[in-house]
Amino acid sequence: MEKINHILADTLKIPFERTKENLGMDDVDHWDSLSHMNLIVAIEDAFGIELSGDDIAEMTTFNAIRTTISKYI
Amino acid sequence: MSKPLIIFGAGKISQAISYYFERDSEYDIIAYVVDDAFVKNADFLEKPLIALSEVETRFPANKYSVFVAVGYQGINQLRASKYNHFKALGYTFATYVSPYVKGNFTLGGNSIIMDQVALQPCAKLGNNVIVWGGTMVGHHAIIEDHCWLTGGCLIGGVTTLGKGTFVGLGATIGNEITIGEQCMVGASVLITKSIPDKTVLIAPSTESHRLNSDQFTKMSSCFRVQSL
Repeated sequence: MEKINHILADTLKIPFERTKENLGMDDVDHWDSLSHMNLIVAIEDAFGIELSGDDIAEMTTFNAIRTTISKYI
Repeated sequence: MSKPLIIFGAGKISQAISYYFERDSEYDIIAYVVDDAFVKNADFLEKPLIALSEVETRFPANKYSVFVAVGYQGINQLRASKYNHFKALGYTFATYVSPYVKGNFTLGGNSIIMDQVALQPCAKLGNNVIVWGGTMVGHHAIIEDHCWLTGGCLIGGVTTLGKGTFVGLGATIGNEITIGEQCMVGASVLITKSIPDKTVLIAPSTESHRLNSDQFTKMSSCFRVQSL
């Protein structure tokens, strides 16, 4: 989870401490559709996985991201 | 008193150009003309449709003007050949400039400037030039005969387009550039250096996003459906 939190902090430009909350797209200023895809690519590169379109669309909160990644690894 | 006009062509381009002539020109469309092999009906847009071989007899050059209104087939060679055919027969060519387009420019025969075109001062457009709405032609630009400028294209100042060149939707050509004759400049192409005759430039189509529109809607704050 530490690895995911670093990706969230770097990609969404938020303090690392905030990655421990369950924030959603509406809670983070820099989390728009473009940065969402940057986040997805960063996750795929870091974990060596390829996420499906439906999963990408559902990964709109930190908890959803963690749950989805856990399915792949 | 309106001037009698015959239009060569009986397709979508002819229909679009006819709209402008009928809307607010000094011309009255009398008939449409096509090559003999293409006379499939007796009329087009409720006007007589006649064979090219009959045009001199039925609508002589001393009484009728003509406008060649066909597409850019052969990168404008078809339009050029028909223009030259009617010119050899002695016809005068109609010209249309949208009343909403003002400016200090010159324009040859069988040329049309449609609505929402911006022509900057001292632009010079030749014969048989088609300029669709949204085009911008910069100051002192020279558009040679038989060119076709599609909607939204931008031609920089002091740039020259050679004869018969086609410029696609939204293409941008910088200033002080020379484009050769019969070039094919595709939609959204960007040109910043001169190019020789018969150059073809095509911009790649934008790649599809990984997500389909249903998936994209879920993660886009702009497109997401908010619960009421």
